[in-house]
Amino acid sequence: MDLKKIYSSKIVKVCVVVIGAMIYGLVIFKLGMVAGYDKADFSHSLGENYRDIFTNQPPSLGEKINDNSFTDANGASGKIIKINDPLLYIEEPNDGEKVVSTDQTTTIRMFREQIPFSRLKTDEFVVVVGDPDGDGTIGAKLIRVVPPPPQRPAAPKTK
Amino acid sequence: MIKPMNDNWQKIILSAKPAGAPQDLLPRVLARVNEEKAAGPLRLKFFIYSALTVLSAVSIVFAVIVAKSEFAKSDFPAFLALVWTDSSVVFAYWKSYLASLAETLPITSVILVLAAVFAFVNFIRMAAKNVGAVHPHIRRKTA
Repeated sequence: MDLKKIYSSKIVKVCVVVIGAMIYGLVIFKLGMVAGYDKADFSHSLGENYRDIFTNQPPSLGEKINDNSFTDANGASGKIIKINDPLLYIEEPNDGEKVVSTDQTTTIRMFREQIPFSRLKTDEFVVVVGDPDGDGTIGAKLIRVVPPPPQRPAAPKTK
Repeated sequence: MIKPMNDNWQKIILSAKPAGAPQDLLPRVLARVNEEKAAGPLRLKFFIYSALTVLSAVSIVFAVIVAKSEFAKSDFPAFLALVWTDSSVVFAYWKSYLASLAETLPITSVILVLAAVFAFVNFIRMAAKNVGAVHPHIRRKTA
């Protein structure tokens, strides 16, 4: 291939523009997350004086940039450790424990069928999609029972 | 009557064109010298961009290794799989689903990979732009 053609190639130019746009979008999104972390931390999410009690220092910029610095609010993925109808307690490898609330509109699926809440058992693995509720639980829209995932390395927790 | 040899020589020498260099030799030589002078910085650029291309290619490998590890730690693959297993529910609650995907995506790793690819593509483009300085036949062909 003629090397000179690489420079003037439209495909290469389009690739550069697309990749650049993706980087730009992701960086802006990440900055938004960092700013959002500050706002949420300030308002109340981690609780008053939480960091004073447990770490005695404010979060560093590295902790804010770290992808595991904040608990995901729109979903959960992990093992059911307790069932208290209509609540599910899910243990996540990286995010600790989450409480998932269900209602009549929640779709619960195992394999190809839809199942009732009563068929869920502890030690089953689930993936939950939902919205954060005001009381710190996740209002489940979809609960999918999945096979146990392969062992994965735990993400470093922020101190 | 046979003419003396000296007269023949004299005629031949007088009638012969001088065996000089072609008239355009000097401008051609000067043009080539200037071309070489101009090619110096371009050659340096080519080597710098080539080295950066290799470095960015290596950084792509490292970035991909880091990203693979981060993806393995995250819940992103589990959420992504829902598109195939529960597409109807996912489309019904697409806002919640997209938020879940965005939250679990290891963005820093993805940015690193994309930045490495971006650098690689740009450096290889710049190296290709200056390749004529190292391979004159390409320069002349495209000039």
